[in-house]
Amino acid sequence: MKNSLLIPNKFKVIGWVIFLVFCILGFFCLTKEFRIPGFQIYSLKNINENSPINFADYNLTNEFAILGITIGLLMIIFSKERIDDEYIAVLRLKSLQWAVLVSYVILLAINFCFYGLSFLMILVYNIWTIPIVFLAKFNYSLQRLKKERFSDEK
Amino acid sequence: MKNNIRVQRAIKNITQAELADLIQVSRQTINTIESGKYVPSTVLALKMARVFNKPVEEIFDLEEGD
Repeated sequence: MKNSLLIPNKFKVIGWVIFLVFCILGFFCLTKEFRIPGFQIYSLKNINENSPINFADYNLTNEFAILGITIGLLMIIFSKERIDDEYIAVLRLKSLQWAVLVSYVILLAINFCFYGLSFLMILVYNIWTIPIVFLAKFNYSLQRLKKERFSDEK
Repeated sequence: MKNNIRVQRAIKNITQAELADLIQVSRQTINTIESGKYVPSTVLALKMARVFNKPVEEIFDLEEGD
């Protein structure tokens, strides 16, 4: 009963570090228009400016931030717990099921609350709804499991 | 599904933690199995049976509705 999709426990810490660092990068990228200088694709100068395909943003900083946040989150959710037995596997699957359901509820709520460009913006953030809801639910389940009272008389 | 792991532990005089170590799961898992919240896999049930040196049917028992 080996789950080959899971990676060793130490990747949890690495995942959190990557996630947080790239969150900060993404935050500055979004609010302060921060761009890593020189980190971009240069195109040929005499591209037809009237072309319908208009590359407004050549800089790769925001793409880099999305990549980092996604890889960080995937590392966190796919890493094993310290003691990873079959009950943890059940909790993991239940949390995933729950997360998919909740993320669609959120998506439907957004569908009726936003429209136009803001709707598209929220859809971009929505790519992380499932991992984030999963993390919250899974860790909540683990905490509850830890707090459970033991009836451990010999 | 009912189980009498608590009784079997008492007979063998081991704690939940010791049983957990013997079959390589967490103590919490043993606790959820004992309280009937979680039905273990066949692998785990057989491992427990080996620890207690009893057939699986003596530890686990079907109940109405299963």
